[in-house]
Amino acid sequence: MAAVLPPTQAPPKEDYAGDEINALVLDPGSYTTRAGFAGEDTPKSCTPTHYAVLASGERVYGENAIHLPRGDVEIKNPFDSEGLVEDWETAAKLWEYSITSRLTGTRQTPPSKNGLNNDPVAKDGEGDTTMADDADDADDAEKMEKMEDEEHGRTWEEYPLLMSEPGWNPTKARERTIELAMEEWGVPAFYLAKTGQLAAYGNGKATALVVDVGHQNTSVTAVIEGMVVRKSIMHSPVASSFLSTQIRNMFAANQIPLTPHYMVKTKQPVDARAPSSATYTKFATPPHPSFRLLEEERVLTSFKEGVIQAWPGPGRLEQNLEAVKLQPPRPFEMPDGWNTVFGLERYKLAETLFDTATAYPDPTNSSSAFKPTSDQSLPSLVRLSIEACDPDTRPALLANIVLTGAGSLIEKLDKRLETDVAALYPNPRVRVLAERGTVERKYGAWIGGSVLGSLGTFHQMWVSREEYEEFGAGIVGRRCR
Amino acid sequence: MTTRSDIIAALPLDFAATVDPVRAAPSAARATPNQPIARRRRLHKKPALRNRGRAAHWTYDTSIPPTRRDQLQVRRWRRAAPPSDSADTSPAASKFAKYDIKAEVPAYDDETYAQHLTHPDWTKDETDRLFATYEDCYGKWPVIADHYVADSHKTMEEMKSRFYSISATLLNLQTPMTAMTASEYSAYDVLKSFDPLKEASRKKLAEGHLRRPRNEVDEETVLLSELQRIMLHQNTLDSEREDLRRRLQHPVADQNGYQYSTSQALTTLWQQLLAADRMKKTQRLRPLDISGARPSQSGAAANLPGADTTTSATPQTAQQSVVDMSKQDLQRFGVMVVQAGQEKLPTGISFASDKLSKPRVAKSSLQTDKIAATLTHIGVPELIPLPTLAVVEQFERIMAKMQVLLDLRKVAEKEEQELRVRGAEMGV
Repeated sequence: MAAVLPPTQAPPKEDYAGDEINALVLDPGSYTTRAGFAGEDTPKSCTPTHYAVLASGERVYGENAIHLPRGDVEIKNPFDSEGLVEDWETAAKLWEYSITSRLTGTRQTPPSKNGLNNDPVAKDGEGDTTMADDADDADDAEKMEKMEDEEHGRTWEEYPLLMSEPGWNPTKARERTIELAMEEWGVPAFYLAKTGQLAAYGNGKATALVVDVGHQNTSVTAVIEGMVVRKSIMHSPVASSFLSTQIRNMFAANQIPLTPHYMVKTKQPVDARAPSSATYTKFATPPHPSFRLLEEERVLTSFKEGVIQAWPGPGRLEQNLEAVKLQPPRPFEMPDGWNTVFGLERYKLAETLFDTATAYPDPTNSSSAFKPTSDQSLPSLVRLSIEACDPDTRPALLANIVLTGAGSLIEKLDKRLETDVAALYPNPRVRVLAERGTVERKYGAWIGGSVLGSLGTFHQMWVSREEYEEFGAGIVGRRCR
Repeated sequence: MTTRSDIIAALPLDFAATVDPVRAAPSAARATPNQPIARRRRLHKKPALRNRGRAAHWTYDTSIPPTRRDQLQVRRWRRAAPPSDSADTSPAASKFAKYDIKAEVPAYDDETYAQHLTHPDWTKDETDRLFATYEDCYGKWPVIADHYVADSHKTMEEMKSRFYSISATLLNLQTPMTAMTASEYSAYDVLKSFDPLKEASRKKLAEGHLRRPRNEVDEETVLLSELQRIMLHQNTLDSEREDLRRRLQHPVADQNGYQYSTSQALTTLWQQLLAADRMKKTQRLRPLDISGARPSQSGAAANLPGADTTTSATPQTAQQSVVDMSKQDLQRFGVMVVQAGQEKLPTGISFASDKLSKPRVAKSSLQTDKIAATLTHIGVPELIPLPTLAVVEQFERIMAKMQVLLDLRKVAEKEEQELRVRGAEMGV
């Protein structure tokens, strides 16, 4: 038995290279699904989680499928507003698609369609062949499909799979995931890690407070010496999706028209706040409202990237209105040419993440509209998470706040978060660590999974097929903590 | 550069034998100016394309990581070992086996639990679960407190105290306290001294400290900076004082003076100084004149008042070499000044009255009686009260004469005996 290295001794340099066994890393999210091989620095497959349901009931996945404006197509999402999987069959198919579409290499033309497997039919004297019957055709097609599936299945059986889950995933969902992986896909080994934990590893920290601003949810996880403190996992719906709603409300309040790209045929430049002079496409059957919402999201995403900025402080936005007025406003142009500049609204929109009382009200004033409470703002989440941790560990966590997630790419968000948390806890040192590159933040959890899956010391943690067959699905609760 | 063979090849054959190579080169250059003369010279023999080197061979094969208990096959690309280097033949995963660290958990069985480890607040099931959680979470207490699931809620301090008390008891059972080594005992001591209430109150304090308001924090930083400033100023002040002292040339004793407080130490100091002085050219110190003063201490009768007692002038402690006393005092006190080398004086202290009593005692009691009878016949009293110098001198003279007398008597007796014997012999 090899001697055990004492924990105080740093490992030698050669061991840092890790030990790649080509594990697959799948990080499913409610907006995109990231998949790739462990050991790489970005996921090779990044597909949207939205899928299109054709009129025939067939589901089509992938970016090329959902952005085509067709009349009969509905856009759906298998995730619910909590960030948990609602529709398991679709989710399974979607995840299969994300891995098999990009990671397995170009597929050969299926044998049923490459013209080489037609049954040799007897030729009569002149060299003519009779056409096969329809029934035979159907049989052959089935056989060919089975062959394709077998080929596909071999992909899953070769590589161990590391999946990520949200920290508040219920036990049933976890067990369902391992059943899916083991039985439907037939992976040789499996592991389920929490996204907060993986994001900490991706940023190179073993002790950190991970603030992950995603699409549907913002979550805060405390990771102490590599292990997640379950009681400290807090999440709230105040995230990118909420911000999009706020932008819509703000547009509605200021009578700003929002037209997605697919509607616009041609456009002319116009003055600020002047009505747009564009020609719109005419659809025989206009696309589904869900399609329109999806396309509007794209416009709002570019708005978030280009215009919105968080007020970095010191102090709140309300106290600094004079300073805000001195900042230059930013212009934004809609797909149909309508444009204007945004000054105060730039900051006010990001302020809603920190001070939920300043949220724009829903224009329709419906009672079912989501109204965030003060406990759901970003600094409050951090505070609740810290309070749930042991007092001895709090200074270490506050000095290592990791900001990750695509929603955190809003300009100066990290500085503002640092100021707010330092105002809550003036005594200890508060540092917010946010990666500069967009790729590292968008795929933070996936990168952490890649790091974890390529470690030589991770081999003992996989849940293998044997163990699953012996202990059942409950093993995931014991091993994947 | 052209070689000789190139030139010979270029020129006609019959010319080759007589041609001078030095002169042949320019003609060759003139003959074919467009051909490149320089031929690239290879410093090493480059092998043909087919055999050039050997591509590294990689295999994609499976192995079982040694840290796993089951048969999970793990596949990786591995470079087949090149023939010269045979070092890396072990599978890569075994080099990570040393990172498979497990937490050290003391184990107990049921009887041990029933005998020593029961506790009113903890059931066996809960205790077992606590130990399992400890092992799973690698001994990190914040995580253990978080992952521990049981019906009754336990705080981290309670869990810690239970764990440490069980560890201490098991340690004690393994090796009784008397047989423990120092490190074991210190571990045992630490385990035993865990106080959950103190820990809980300390945590509360830490929490309160975390929540200090901004103005307190600012105040503390200001005070700390003030303190730092004062400390720095103190340093400069001290250095200035030191500087001043140096300028005034204050002699600094580098040794402690306390070691010369006893008389013996002073004596040694005197010897040292004397020795050091002898080494020098001009002697400053005068060596001490040993005065042969008879100690004239009154032993039995103290007629004179006690002021008469003289200090015994032993040679070592005499302060003066020449005794500065008047003639009367010298006589009175019986101080005798003896030149060095004249008389050998007895060392040490002796009673003056001894000088009057000791010579009276002879080896045999007969002789002592004789001496005593003679002295009384002369008129010397048995007990002489005051042994002054003159008395002692006189007595010594008397005693000397007495000795002579006694010796003569002995001789006379012997002669008489002889005569008698001779007479007796003659008479017969």
